Amino acid sequence: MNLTKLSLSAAIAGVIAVGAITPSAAAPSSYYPLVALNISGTLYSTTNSGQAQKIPLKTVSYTTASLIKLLNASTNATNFVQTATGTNQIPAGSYFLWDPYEDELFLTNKNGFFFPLKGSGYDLGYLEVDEYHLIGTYKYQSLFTLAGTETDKTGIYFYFSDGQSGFKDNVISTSGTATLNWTYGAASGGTQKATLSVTMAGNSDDGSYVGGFEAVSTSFSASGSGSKANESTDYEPFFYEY
Amino acid sequence: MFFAALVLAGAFYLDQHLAQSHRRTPEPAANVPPPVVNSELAAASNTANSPIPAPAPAMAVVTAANAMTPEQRQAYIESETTRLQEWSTQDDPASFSGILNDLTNSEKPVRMAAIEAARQFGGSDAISVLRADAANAADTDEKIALLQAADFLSLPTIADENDQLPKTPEQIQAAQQSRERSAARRQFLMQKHAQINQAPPVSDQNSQPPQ
Repeated sequence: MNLTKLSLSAAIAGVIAVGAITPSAAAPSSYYPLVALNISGTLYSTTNSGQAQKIPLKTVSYTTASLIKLLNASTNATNFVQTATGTNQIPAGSYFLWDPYEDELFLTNKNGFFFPLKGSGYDLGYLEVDEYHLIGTYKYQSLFTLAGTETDKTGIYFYFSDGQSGFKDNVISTSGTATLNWTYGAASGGTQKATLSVTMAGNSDDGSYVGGFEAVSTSFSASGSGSKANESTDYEPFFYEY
Repeated sequence: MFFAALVLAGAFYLDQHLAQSHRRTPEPAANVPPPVVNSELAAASNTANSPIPAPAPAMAVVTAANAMTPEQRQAYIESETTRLQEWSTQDDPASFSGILNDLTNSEKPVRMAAIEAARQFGGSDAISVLRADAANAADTDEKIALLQAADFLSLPTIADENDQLPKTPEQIQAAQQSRERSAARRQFLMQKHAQINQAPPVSDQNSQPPQ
């Protein structure tokens, strides 16, 4: 899963427009809790792509709101949003939702707006967990109820593109480390409540662009939490079952 | 000597007491947003399908905070964090005020969530508040987070800098070459990653590389 997603994005280095887009704006049903994420970070960039002198390096920041602003200003992205949701603008106040099993990111809001950043015919972003080096520790409060806690550490990779064409795109490509804190409730009928709280921090990877110019990701952070009322007990602990 | 120590101890107590009273105390659980219809979306922290809760008054119910059980305290932290995440996605003075109030909450997890909410809310209005709080913060992690948030808010955003000027032919050529280099490097890394994961496991569980 990891490499497939990576290769798709790498080969295209931005938005993919290879086929018909299938409307898919429906909330997913994941094996694991969906996590509402605050995403932010910084990038170094320059408008110098040659050997010109005295062109300064700039540092720019991004948050969920500024990434939404980029998508709303991109013709390609708004076309994808239109096809998937029926409206061509992502509403103010929307936020990221992350599916830790499928590594997918969505933009949603409390009024029912729902836009997957990766769909049939396009790829505007995702957040991967590195399942090859996923370590963790867990502790049952009770072997009888399977209630307990788990903490995992793993690598992550965040990719975002606003899909602008004509070498004017804004792309964030960054690796980092995540801490996943799980709390499991008492099991009943093969399911249990699972709460997931995450913090992520990262720095650099190549492949970032600001306005089409090369950029270097200097920091990345994400945090948030979510819960699922009826997660299967088979999926605990995450670091082992995933 | 003893008298001087007594005076110093008294001054320390007063200082701590006043600092604590400056911090807002937790509110009763009645402020928790109501549940939403879609259970999975509702479970994600900032998805409450209700009007944005108004910021609580600065001085709330002290007796309720003191009487909270560990479970109630955890529920309070979660509900306040949820409210902060909601406020962070808004663009109105009430939400901003709520975030600023929680920068001095009595619970550290809430204060840390408020710092993140201030980053997400954006704008430069919070910078001076964050720096002032950093000067008064006793906790090193918190002080660092406050200063980092203030610095972060001082930067232009990627959307502000995205002027979309037309590129010269040289710039387009450079952009093409850059993307080709990046794609080639990523391809190399992916192949290397795949080779590592396809390698047979070592027999003695020792993951040290050969000397």
